[in-house]
Amino acid sequence: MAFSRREFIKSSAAATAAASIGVNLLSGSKNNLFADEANTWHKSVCRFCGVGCGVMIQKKNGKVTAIKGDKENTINNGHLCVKGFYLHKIIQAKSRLLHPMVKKNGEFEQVTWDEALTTVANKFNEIRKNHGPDSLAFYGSGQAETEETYMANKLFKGCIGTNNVEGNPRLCMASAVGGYLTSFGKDEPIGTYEDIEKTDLFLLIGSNTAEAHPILFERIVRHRNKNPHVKIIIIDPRKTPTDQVADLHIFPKPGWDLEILHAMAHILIKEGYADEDFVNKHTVIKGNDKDFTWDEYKAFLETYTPEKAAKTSSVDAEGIIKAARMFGQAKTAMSMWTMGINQRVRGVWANNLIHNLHLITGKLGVPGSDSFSLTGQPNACGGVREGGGLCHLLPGHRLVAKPEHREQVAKVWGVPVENIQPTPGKHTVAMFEALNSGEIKGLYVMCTNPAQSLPNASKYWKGLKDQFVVVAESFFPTATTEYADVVLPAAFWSEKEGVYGCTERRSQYMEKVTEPKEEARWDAFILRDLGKTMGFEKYFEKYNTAEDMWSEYISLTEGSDMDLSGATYNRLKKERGLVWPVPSESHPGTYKRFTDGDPLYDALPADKKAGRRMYFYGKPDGKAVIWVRPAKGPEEPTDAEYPIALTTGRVLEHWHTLTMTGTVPELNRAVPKCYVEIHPKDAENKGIKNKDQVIVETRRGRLQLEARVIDRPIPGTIFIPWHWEEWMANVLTIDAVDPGSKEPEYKVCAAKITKA
Amino acid sequence: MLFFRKTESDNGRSENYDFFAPTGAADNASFLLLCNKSYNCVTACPYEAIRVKRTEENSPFYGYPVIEPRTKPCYFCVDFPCIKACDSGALKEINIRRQTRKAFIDTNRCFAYNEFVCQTCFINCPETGAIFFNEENQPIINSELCTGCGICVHACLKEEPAINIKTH
Repeated sequence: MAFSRREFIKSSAAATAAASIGVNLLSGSKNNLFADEANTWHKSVCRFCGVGCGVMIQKKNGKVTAIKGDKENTINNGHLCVKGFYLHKIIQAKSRLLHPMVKKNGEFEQVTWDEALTTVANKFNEIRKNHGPDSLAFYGSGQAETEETYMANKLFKGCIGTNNVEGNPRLCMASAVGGYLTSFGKDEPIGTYEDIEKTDLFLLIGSNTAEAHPILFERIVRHRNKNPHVKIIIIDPRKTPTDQVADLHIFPKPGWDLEILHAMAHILIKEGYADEDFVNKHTVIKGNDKDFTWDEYKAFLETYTPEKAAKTSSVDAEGIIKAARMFGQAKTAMSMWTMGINQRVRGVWANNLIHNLHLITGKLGVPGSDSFSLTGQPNACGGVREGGGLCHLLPGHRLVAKPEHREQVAKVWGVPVENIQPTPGKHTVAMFEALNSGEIKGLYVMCTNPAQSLPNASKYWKGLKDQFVVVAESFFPTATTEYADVVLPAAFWSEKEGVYGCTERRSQYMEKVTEPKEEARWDAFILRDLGKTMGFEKYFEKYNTAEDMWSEYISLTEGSDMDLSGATYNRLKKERGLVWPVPSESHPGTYKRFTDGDPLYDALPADKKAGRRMYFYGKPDGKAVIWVRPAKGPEEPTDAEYPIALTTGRVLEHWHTLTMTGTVPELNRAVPKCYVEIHPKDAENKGIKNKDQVIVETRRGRLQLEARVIDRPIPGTIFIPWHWEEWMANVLTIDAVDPGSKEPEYKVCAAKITKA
Repeated sequence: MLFFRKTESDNGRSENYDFFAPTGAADNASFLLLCNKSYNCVTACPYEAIRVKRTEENSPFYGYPVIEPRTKPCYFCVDFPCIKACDSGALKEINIRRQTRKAFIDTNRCFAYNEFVCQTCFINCPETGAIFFNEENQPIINSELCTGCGICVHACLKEEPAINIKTH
């Protein structure tokens, strides 16, 4: 090729033609240089992580043939990571589930849709009649569309009458929800991705942004390269690819970083970086059992000196002091974290302590300053946190415990209000424990793979095996379908329309590009039809399109803190997503919450806002809370028997349980199998060489895999990516949960490693 | 020149990937001269990375042991069993420091140079600093550090690798 792609695009007048040619060039093909007129491009959102990149889907001869970044999308500006690039291969994967099947005599048999739905409906009705509604449960997903979760919620909470509705966001985002609610009073971040280009300092804690959120990482790097004064602090027990940009890296022992955050607050206050004016006007200080004054808080922090924190978390005290000074000296600061903070027995507390840093320095509510939690799944925020897909929630940030909330929802759903139970159902780990004990007898799993993704997974296989389990999936087989009694083929991404809500409160519309393959059906319609078959015809008659469901859902958000009433399908189809609150169709969406520009803040009476720049309307007096939380280590610290800390995570090329990325040869080639990363020092002590087979053992299970001797984890820590069913890292992880958020501690447990 | 590339086949894609002589070969001419086709290195390689070339009958390497990094790269064993097994003198440990094969990136095809975010070669590279990123987040090879092992070629996420091993 004589010209580079960039030069070609520059020289080409027809932008659209150039874009499609660009994709053809990318795939390395010479023959299709000129765009086929039959190609059409459709706007959608990437199926993978929670960043919410806009993609354009190419359709040709009724098939999805290519994916490219959407240049008009403000999140990714046309950039994509490699997982997104190969999405079209996943649609055509051989492992797609194409027909409904029922297990008869231990073997799956293909049946008609009618038979499958009748089987499920009869069984569910029988269980409901004999054992009560609470013996049924639903387990959904942060990858399901908002409409799908909405249907499940209505069927289970509104019609069947059980609050046993959970989803995998419990395993990934629950602690962030708890952190936001307790600190700021309302769930989800205050700012948006726009802050990335405005900030002076990034604090990345418990996040391997480069691999887990590549597009955001790219934006961070781009911003830093343009502005050399921008600093990046990383707190993570593992040296990850994110490290290439770090100005300062603190490597705490896994699970011991709470003290570091306290010590940073200690230095910030001691050295005069605290904004006491902001603290006085906008915050109250609370402990677990009593209220604190500013001086009492200072006295509390006195006990958390950098030296002490350095000792417990085995880091360098200098590093902590330096990090605190960098945080204090920067004009604006943005913290970002993911599972390293959330998946912990003290996940909510860790979240609180990060928010504290921003509250005491007043680095909040201004452009470039935010305490920003990154989401792992494309619709964990949109469908499950906002849509109410957890056992204590109802749509629109509502709670089942509040009578007025139940009434509002029952009225819109058109169901008797008594149907919605006032007490929260079982959270995920309790739900699968109840499945083991037989308390729950029927489970509907949608779009997720709990047999592999639950912590201490092998413990929960018994329940999945014993009880009646329905799995609605796009792929077969998965670890979960093995235990299913009925599998229902679900339409995959691009075969259905719907809305995904990403990390930054942005809801984006996805177009239906092709018909579902073979007999696959849209999950929301499967649930609707199941509801009808179970005898709830009149409650599900009104849903004929995705728009019917979305319009009803956004009517439930009217006037709430997450007002989506201006985000109609009509508008979402045209725009690249809208950031709530969007109270009317003419409203552009909200950049910062709790401050000027937030419609809820603007509507407040002037006397409430007097003399302050933020009003946390979810809290009494609009005051955020600085939480005084004592530091605590992991549930299972290392000891003489299990001397090494095990942490699990992801790689860039793969996603979750491999049902999608495992079908792409190019991605499999790059990372074909599981491995355990071990520091050269530890490896030497154990006599382990690179690529040796080793056995990793915890109190819950053992796993044989290949050793990768590399200086990425700190000494005393090993790392295993958790994607493979064959090398299932979750047989090792611990199922202890955070008492507040009920999120399990995937990130830390004690292990031992020996040569096989 | 230790590097060969097969001509593109009829459908416009090259079917066979690039290959190079096993680690420890001095240069092409002396390797072909010295190698006695005992295939001891093929037997010794624990990764089965060294294979006998049985494609392209016209290639001077036909029938000789080679490494095709797209199939299996060289993992640089600490004790080099391939070199130990070589009784002809074609592979010598002293040549490793002299060899000039390095990775090169085809920027026309590389994901990172074409508006995708990809770091696979960087993440898989066992030699810290051999691949680094420029301001546009695009990978660049540091020829001083690159060992030419081909692990990046093996891992490259393109259908056809956008990174290849060539000699200076």
